[in-house]
Amino acid sequence: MSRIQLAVRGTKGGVPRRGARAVVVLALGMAVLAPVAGHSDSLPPNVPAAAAPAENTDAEAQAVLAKLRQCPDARAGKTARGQTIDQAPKFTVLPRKSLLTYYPCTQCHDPAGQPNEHIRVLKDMHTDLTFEHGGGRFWCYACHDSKNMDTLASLRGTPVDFDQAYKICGQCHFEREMDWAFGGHGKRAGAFPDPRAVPLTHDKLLVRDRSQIGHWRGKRVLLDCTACHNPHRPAIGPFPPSPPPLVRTGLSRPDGKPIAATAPGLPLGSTQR
Amino acid sequence: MDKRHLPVLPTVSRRSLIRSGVAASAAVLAAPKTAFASFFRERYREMTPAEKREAVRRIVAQAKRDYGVTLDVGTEDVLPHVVFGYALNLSKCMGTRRCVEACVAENNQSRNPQIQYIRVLDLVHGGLDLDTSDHYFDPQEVPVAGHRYLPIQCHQCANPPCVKACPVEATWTEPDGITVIDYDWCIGCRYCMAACPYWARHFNWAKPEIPKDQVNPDTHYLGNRPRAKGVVEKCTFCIQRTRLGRLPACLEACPTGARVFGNLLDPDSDIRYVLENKTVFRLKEDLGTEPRFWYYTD
Repeated sequence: MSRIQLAVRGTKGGVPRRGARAVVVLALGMAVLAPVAGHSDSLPPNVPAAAAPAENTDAEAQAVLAKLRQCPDARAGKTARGQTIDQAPKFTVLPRKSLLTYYPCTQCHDPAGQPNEHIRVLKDMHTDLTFEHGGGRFWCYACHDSKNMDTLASLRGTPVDFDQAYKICGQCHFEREMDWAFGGHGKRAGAFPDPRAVPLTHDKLLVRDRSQIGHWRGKRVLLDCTACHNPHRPAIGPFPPSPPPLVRTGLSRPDGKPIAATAPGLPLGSTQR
Repeated sequence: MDKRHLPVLPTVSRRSLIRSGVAASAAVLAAPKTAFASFFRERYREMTPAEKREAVRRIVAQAKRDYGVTLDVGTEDVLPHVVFGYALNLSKCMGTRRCVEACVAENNQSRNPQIQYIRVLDLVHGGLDLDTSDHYFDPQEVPVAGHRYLPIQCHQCANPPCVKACPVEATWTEPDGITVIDYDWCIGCRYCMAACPYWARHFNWAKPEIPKDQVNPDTHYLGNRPRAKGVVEKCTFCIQRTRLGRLPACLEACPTGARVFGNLLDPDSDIRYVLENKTVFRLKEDLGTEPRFWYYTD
């Protein structure tokens, strides 16, 4: 960041010669593409997630949660224009409660029951879930409401509806939440009459009905964080890539690999695989 | 460069020449009405609404013959107070090429010979060396550790070298920032392709091949209507969609949400937020082409 600012400032004073401008562009490019040390959040998940901590003890998890619960409210960030997240252009979130397999959760979870707040391996129910969020240090009640299983709860205990999950995510990922609310992150939904027409599924991220994903103007209906990210395992990808273009006649691959002259073209039609 | 200095006649006097010389004899030959009209067509920008309707009717008839598909060819004009801009988040792009697939399907690009408006470059971590980048990458899964991906398509430059290079004014920039081609006016000289520093223009070396069941009937005169052999084509930010308020097909298809599109004149638009709050850069900015396509990182 500082490198970019320095480079740009350097040209502001004098005459922006062609060479100098090239240097700026180069610097920008390098800064953008260089490994961003210390900003692992901004990197795509190129590198496989670090293995879960070996000592992933219950005590450690409880300590992390206790620490988080004492954090100051971080949703006070502002945009370059000085707007807070509450001043973001008006939006609604596409409801997705009806897509939840087991909702309402109180069908099974007895409201009067005593939830087990300790990390353990689940054997009877929810065995399909993998808890990779936060390196495996979170247990259900970091996000779910232990007092009312039909809602989520903030770290301070405020109930949050399942259709407003971004408020839970934004407690830690407040910068991302900001981007999302203003349009720099995530995807828009169209004004769906039927929430079941939601285009994205949890794990495979399959685009079911492209015609209904939003408009660049008009009503802003955003997809909630959990429409794309599995909250229990939030990293997206990897994906198998779509087929490469055919090598043009007379050209060769830069890596010298054999030219797939008979390689099939794109699977025609849909964007699905 | 001023067109007058190009080694080409300033305005190819095709019409005047043909009209004075050949017109009479052609009329005598009593060619079919559509072929005749098609040959003596006007340029799109000079057409009256009635002439546009007539041109659309010809295009629809031709597509019916070629593909057996009834097209809906729009001629929507520019939306007021709109200039389109595009931003792409390099932190999010994983090189899935879903944008390429969606683009080909949406824009009726030729499958054989293959034309694709978007090229996704595979860059080795830390570098922006386009010369050594690979757009044929095909691993089992993307992203590959240590690699980054940089999709390139038409940057809809505000100072477009391709438009300056065209000797017949078959390509121009619309007031909403989209550089379009009048496919009926393009002479196929490919000067624009030589002028474009982004390899964003593509030439139909042969008659485009599109399977009949995969022709997209929702088209625009200046966008994705089927092209003929011998003309240049390019990305139009999906003009057939964006002028109706929809988002470009590449954006919709992106599984990582790396793409942001919107109206640069609307201070509340997504694109303005990105430009004001993110570290952005434009490709080959030193060439002075003023692209309306930004790359950014989180």
